[in-house]
Amino acid sequence: MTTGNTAAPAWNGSIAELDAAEVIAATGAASVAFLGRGSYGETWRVERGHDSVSAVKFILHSAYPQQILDREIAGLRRVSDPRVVRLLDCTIVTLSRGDRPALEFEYVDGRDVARHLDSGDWPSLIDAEHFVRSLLGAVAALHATETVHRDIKPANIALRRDAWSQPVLLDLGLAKQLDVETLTVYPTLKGTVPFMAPEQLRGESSRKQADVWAAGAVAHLVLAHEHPFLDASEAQVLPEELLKRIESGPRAMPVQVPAHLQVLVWRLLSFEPHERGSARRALREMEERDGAQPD
Amino acid sequence: MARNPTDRLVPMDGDLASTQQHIEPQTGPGSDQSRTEILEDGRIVNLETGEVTTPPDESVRTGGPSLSKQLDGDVPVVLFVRGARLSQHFADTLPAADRATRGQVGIGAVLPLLNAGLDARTQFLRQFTTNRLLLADPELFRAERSQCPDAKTLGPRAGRRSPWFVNAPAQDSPTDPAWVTEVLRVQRNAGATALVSATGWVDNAAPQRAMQHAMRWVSASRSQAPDEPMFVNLTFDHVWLTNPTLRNVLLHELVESSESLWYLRFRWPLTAPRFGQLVDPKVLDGYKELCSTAALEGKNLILPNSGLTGWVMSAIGATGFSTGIGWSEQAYADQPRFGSTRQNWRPPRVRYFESSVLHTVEHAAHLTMMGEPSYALCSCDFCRRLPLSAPTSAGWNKEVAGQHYLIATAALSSVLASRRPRLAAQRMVNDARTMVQKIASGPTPLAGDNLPKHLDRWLALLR
Repeated sequence: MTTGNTAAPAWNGSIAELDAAEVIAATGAASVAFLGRGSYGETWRVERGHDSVSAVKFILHSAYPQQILDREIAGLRRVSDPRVVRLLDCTIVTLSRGDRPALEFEYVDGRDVARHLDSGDWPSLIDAEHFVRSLLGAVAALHATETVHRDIKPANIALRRDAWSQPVLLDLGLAKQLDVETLTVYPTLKGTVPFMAPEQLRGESSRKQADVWAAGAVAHLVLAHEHPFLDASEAQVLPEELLKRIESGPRAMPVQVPAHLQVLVWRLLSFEPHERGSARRALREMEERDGAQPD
Repeated sequence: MARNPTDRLVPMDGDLASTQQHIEPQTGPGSDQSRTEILEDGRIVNLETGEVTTPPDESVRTGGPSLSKQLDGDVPVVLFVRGARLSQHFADTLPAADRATRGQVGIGAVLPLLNAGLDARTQFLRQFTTNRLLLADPELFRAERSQCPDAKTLGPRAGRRSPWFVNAPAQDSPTDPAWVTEVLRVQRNAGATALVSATGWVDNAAPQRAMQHAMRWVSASRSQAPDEPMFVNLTFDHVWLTNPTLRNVLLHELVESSESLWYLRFRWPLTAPRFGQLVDPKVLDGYKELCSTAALEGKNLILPNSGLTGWVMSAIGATGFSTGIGWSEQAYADQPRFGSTRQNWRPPRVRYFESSVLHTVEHAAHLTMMGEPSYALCSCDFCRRLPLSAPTSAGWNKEVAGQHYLIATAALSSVLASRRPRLAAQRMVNDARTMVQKIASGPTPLAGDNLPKHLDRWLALLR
């Protein structure tokens, strides 16, 4: 926990632009800790009291359009599901650089999927299946409110209390407009390339089915311990190259992955958006299967 | 659905005056000239004479599935379309269909609004009980500014009767809430138990854009009916089924959208003979993919004006279809363009729908079929009134034969109310093919337009 002026770097090495004292002054917190930074701004853990912990995102780019922020906040407020991070408040805070919007979210106590995998913490097959089902539930809940995430990837999925059965979607919706630098890899691309659907890679609009694709790619990674199209060293792949790989089809999964999960994930990774089916359908099928075959 | 399915779609205002629904003044001749308003209790006031009438109501419906079950896609649905013929006899036909289907099928009705007079617009759907699926179709696909090949230009008098149709904006124009309100109001006034969106023809020249525009209008419609059952109402050329690019755009939208009720009409290519079935394998395959996708996604898909093709698609995944007595209600298809009507005039044919071969045949072929020992005469309420065994067609009543067709279609749909509808339909088609083969081994095989040419294609679809 940081209470001094200099924040410790985030787990991924990113350095804070704000200092802790400024965040404390702006939020009235008792203690704060730097969590991470994107080009739009940065996120801090804010503790105001024993039972009052939240994650606050400060929008530091002054040029960020208010109307886009308002629209996205409206989308966030429509969602009420434990598998999607809860927006608690949106305020204007006074920083040394001027007044800036701050989005206050519930603080999810647990690391994200990317950190788990980076540290070699892979789930068992049973845990992975629970994870996939809950992830699809999160996407379905989001889509039911006509909200599209557009940047589902391991770093945007936290595990509540580090339990694989309790994924929580983070950064929903905002990534599209806010995280311009890191997300716009190609002039018309929005998202994170390795988890982009073919239509996104072609620069077309990304809709719900693009989220379904990304959930499929994450599911493949967690179940098979590898990305469906890329080697571990290929995080910086170009969109054109990834599109070529996608056209050749996903990698085979290890034989120990149950057949019904392989079929499901391959469907979620269908080239044609409609062939992926909706997240709601995939969730229903998994639930029906669970109903028929209890663990 | 938040709405009580037994309620009519009427405004929710509290006072009686505000629940009266204004109908545009009539200027044309005939019985449709009267100005009427509908009271909250459903009675109709003639504003010129002051007469208050209670609309005819069918006797309390027994045994039919609830409207919510029909809207949830839990039972097969068959909608009878009011056509130029037989519009007076629907009150008999729907209860007869209930009996023939033992209440296993949602039997409803569609009122095409454009050619309906004002009396029909206010009374036709109100003669039915509110647990039926009742649609008032504004037929916007034919609107003048649409790209539909059958776009219609109304004259001034007809235009005054159907302002929503005349004023239909081009689909790529900004959405017009006032016009959408009007389209939905007309349907509510007609007594619809579910709405259709203020949308129509989706052109295929720029499919992605056309679909986006259509869905903008669907959203505009939904915003004015947030808690009412409303079908996404779109009409397409059949190339949307046969062309993979167009089909993918349509299927993507079906999967992507949160709307659960879909009313999708396709303009078939020239289909011969009239009263025959669609046999184009590419169109049928496209339908199959559409219906399978709808079923997988839990969407309630109604295929209007698709006749028995709609029946076979209901076995594959559609919830239901609409049909009627006239050919134009059974199929929305391209029409042959004849140079001279006098030259091409042929005497009207006497036709009869034979459930045993799933095909409409001429009277002479019906008599031939009766010679086959395994042939069983239909015993529906209406066939009892037809001289089915008479050696000539004298005394034949086309309207009654048409009612038989509707009942037979409904009865076929009751077969689909099983756990394995595709298998059930497959058996029916197999039986029909066997019957055709038996007749073929007799002295007078079915031939020409009387020979069903769709059965093998249907079997392939159902496998």
